Amino acid sequence: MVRFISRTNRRLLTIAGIGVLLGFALLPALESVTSYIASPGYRADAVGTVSHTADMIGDSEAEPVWEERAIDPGGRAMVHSATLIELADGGTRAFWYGGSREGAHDVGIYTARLPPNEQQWGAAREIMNRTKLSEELGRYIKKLGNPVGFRDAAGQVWVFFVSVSFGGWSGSAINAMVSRDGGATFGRARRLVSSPAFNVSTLVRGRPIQMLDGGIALPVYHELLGKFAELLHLNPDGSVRGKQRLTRGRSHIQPALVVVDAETAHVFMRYAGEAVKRVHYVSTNDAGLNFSPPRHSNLPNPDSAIDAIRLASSETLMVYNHSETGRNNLSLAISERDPGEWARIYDIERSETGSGQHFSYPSILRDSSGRIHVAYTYNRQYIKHVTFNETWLARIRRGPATEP
Amino acid sequence: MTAYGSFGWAFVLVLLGVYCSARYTDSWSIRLGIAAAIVAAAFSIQFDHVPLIGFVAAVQGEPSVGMLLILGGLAARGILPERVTEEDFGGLRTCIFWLGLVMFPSALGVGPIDLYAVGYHPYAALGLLFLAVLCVGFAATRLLAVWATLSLLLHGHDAGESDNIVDYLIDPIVFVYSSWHVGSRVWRRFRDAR
Repeated sequence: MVRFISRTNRRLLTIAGIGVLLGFALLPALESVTSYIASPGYRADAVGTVSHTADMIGDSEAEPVWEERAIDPGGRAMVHSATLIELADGGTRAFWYGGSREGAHDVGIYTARLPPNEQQWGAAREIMNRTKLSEELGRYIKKLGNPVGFRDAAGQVWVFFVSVSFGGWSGSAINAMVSRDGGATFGRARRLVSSPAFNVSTLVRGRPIQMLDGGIALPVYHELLGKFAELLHLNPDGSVRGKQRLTRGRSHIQPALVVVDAETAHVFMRYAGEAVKRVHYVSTNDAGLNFSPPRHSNLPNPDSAIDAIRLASSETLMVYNHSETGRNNLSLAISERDPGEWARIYDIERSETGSGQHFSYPSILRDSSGRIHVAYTYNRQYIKHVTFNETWLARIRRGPATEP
Repeated sequence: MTAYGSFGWAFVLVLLGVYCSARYTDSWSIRLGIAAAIVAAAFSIQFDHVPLIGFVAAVQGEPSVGMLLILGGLAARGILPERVTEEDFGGLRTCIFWLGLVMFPSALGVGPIDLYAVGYHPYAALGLLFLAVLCVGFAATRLLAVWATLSLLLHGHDAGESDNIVDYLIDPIVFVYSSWHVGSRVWRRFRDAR
């Protein structure tokens, strides 16, 4: 039949055919243009970032509270990289990874729940392992890594976690799974594509932040040719709508995003370089449209993870390793206004250098009752959880100040 | 893996099977039989709870439209050499080469900006649409128009697992293939000039 159509008509038919395809393709493209908002602003009242109402400030509990607990390691020899979320019922849920050793085939993502007004964590439960993820994604998975929990404005619990198919951690990709029942069960995992080069070398550690339009800002970092921090912008359904580089070079990983208000935020980062072993940070005053160049604070950093939250008093509380060389201590520091100026106020853990003790990968959460939770890796043997309130914090701060 | 990914890899395997078996037999039934056997093996034989194609997908993810067109074009050229010309391929390979050359290093942190991030933006899709319309206007570059349009179509309808249009246009494997061809061409010209 083709021979009966003239060359001119064939060309017209080709153009018409492609035109139909273009028209079909144009509809979703136009829809995404109209719905796209570059930076809708941060939800400053997002769960786990700052207090929900002003009346929660300070002495919602008159008596100081300090509690310590251990989370059941689920029979695993090594546990690491815990993260905390507050549940809708006021309880707390933790996620971490555990196995025979870091990077082993048997490493899984675990969760446990601390019911409201109870003292003991529930039993640990594995929610993901490499075999299950391989089946769900239809591809080989070698090992799993850092999980990050998040409860969105709609009440869904998200877990973003790292997986590696080949190579070391620099071959990581990020996966996401969602629970609609507070973390009891999860749907199928999906892979977030964030790099054109085999989608490798994007990792997650910091807590996501809810945006005003329902989107999610997920702090991630890259560590292959360079080591730099990025933000992945997700739609409410978890699809990626943008990526933003926060730093350059080979020095900044594991960003922790702290929201001050709808327009202002600071991103504190682990320093992986050699020059200035301090906690580094970048800031935005336009809801993330632009970030400042990285600066260093006065807090030391031994190339280890940090986390921070905004307090009801408008100060920022950070949990970090107070050392340039090791992870043998874990401390709290407060910044009143300037994100570069901190005062160390308390050592949650302290041991001698070279003691072999190490306390790392802290995660901090302020729940809706005003209590502050810190979870961290204790010698990689178990996850330790400490809880305190702002009354305790105020009492500690009335003591002699400790200079960094 | 999405339906697009599964279908894409099956398509790639069929094309490879047909293309490679052409050296040994002229029979289309045998060539298609070999291709079907390769696809069946890749999707049904499992190792460590993962089908063999899952090991390919673990590295590459899902095939790009660029890969599908290059392989499809190679197979088509074996059947209808007068319909798929070297000029068609040359334009596509050159575009893939230049796109990859700026995209991959910048995404890995070389340089001040991340060009890959632009691919998430809907204006990138509109820019590609404009490019496709331009290509349609020049019949000599119809393979480019198909490449841009098909990528736009699949991206717009969330066919693959990526939300970035760049992943529909190119992938590292087809970039390496295109680089080799472009490099060879440049080297030949250089050699002839001497």
